[in-house]
Amino acid sequence: MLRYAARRLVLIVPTLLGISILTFMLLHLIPGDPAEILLRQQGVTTTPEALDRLRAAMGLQDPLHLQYLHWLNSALHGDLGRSLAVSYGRPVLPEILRRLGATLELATASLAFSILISLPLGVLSALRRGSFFDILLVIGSSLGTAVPAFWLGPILMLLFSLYLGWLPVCGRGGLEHLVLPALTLGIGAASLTSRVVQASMTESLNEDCIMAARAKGLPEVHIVLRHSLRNALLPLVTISGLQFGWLLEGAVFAEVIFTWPGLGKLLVDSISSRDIPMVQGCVLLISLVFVLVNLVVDILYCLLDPRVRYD
Amino acid sequence: MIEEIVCELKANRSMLFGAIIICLLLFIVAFAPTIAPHDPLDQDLQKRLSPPSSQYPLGTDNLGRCILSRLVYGSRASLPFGLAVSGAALIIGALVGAFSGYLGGRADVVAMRIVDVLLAFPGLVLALAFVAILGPGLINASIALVAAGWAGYARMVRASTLAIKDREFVDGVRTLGASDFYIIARHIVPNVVAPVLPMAFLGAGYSILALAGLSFLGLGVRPPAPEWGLMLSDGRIFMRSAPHLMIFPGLALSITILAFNSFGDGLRDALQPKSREMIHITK
Repeated sequence: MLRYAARRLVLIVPTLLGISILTFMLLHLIPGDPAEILLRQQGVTTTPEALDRLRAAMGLQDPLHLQYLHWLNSALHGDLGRSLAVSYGRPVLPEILRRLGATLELATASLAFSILISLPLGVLSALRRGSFFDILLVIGSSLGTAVPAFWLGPILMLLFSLYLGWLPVCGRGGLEHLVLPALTLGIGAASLTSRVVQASMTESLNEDCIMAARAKGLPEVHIVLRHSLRNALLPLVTISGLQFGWLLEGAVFAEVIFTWPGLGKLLVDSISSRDIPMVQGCVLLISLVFVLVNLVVDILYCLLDPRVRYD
Repeated sequence: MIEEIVCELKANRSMLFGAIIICLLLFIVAFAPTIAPHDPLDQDLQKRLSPPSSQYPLGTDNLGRCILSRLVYGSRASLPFGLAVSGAALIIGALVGAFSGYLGGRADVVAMRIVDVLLAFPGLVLALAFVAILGPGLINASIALVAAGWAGYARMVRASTLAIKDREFVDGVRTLGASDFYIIARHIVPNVVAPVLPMAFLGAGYSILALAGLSFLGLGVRPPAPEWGLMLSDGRIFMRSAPHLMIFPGLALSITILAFNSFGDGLRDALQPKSREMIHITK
């Protein structure tokens, strides 16, 4: 197990390096001279002397690979540059880390909501295949995956905040602030997860061990909860890991709609104001979280099912 | 392949629903000027935010523009560009995957490392990063989505290529002296694209959604052009006094995505037995 975890850890190093290269290249892929872009962004007149000074300060005269190594070294020491717009001149990393907590809170709450809803729905529908409830779940989950988060969010806001006045319209605060953004993301995620739970539960209910348990005369509740569900939970672990990425993506919309002070909103604001160091930081951190979550899921999967080995 | 799709279409109602809606949408795209009752940019300031009426079947927006006409014309941005994004990502992914799988060696290692890196980003975040480079706009947003989306297809096509590249018919063509390019283009790609086709349809739904999403965030289509995501974003400001501004574009978008998802799911069911059989043979 430990060997597998260690191997998996080593394997993500090239991916992390690739992510860092792509992130570093963001500034250099923009058409034009990075120094000129940065000076224009700061509203400074672009004289040849000012450009030369900035190029020297940024090390832009060095070959690209040296620039990358310098950037990587700074990044590993917690220096991702300084913001050009959102919080002018301030270091990027503390601002991003401050926002990361809000995004993780939102993504975790959405994932928890999705699992809480989809697990009982998926199990019940697998137990009653072809019933009205099963058909309802199929229709509901199809609709759930088709409704965009950036439409569902405003509709929920209109209904629960503006018409009924039950929940706050926007912002971050107590649990009541979290409900609507988490619902916005969680409903879409639950639609997919409930179908996965239903499929794996149906498969697991048809296995020989379940027939043996029935033949032994075990009560149905015992068979479903102790035998079938345990087997059916494994795909849920995989899908949850993948969905975390989807939730980080969807969080961009939920954060913009509900003015949730997270990384997604910071990323969109930074793109609008062409604050490239901040964009680099956001993209780097979001993908880092995504890679780490998938690593944890892989290891968890191996831990839960000792039959799984990726040799 | 066509036979299986027709069979599935007859048996699978949700796939049929998807096919009908997609055809209807394509019809709307083609005949938008005839279908739309008004010019989508014409403003009637005296009838701002008016609810649905006989003159304006879906009401008007904050500038007195006909919402139905804007929805009809909006389909011209969402559908062709969504399909083009998905198609371009499929073509690039299929070519990279087929070449990488067929040629193997260093080219394969490099291509797959690039694919690994691209897949390590959540899709939309990567597209947002590319928009940051290219700047906002419909074309740039589409390019960003293609740049972020081809990697998934490449990985799938590579896996299918590896499964068939040592089959007898490939050996046969190679013995006859065919070039690598000819083998890939004429024999590998047509054989490996079938399993990916359903993904491309599901991907088209996602591309339409992502394009609308980027416009919603102010990074896609620029005003005053009619586009569903942008209409949704504009309508949000008036959601209390005129909820129809936000409801109709959202409905149009949801029905479109539902149609592509239903058709893609049906297509996968129709083509799955064949792909299963193929994998079985190659084993």
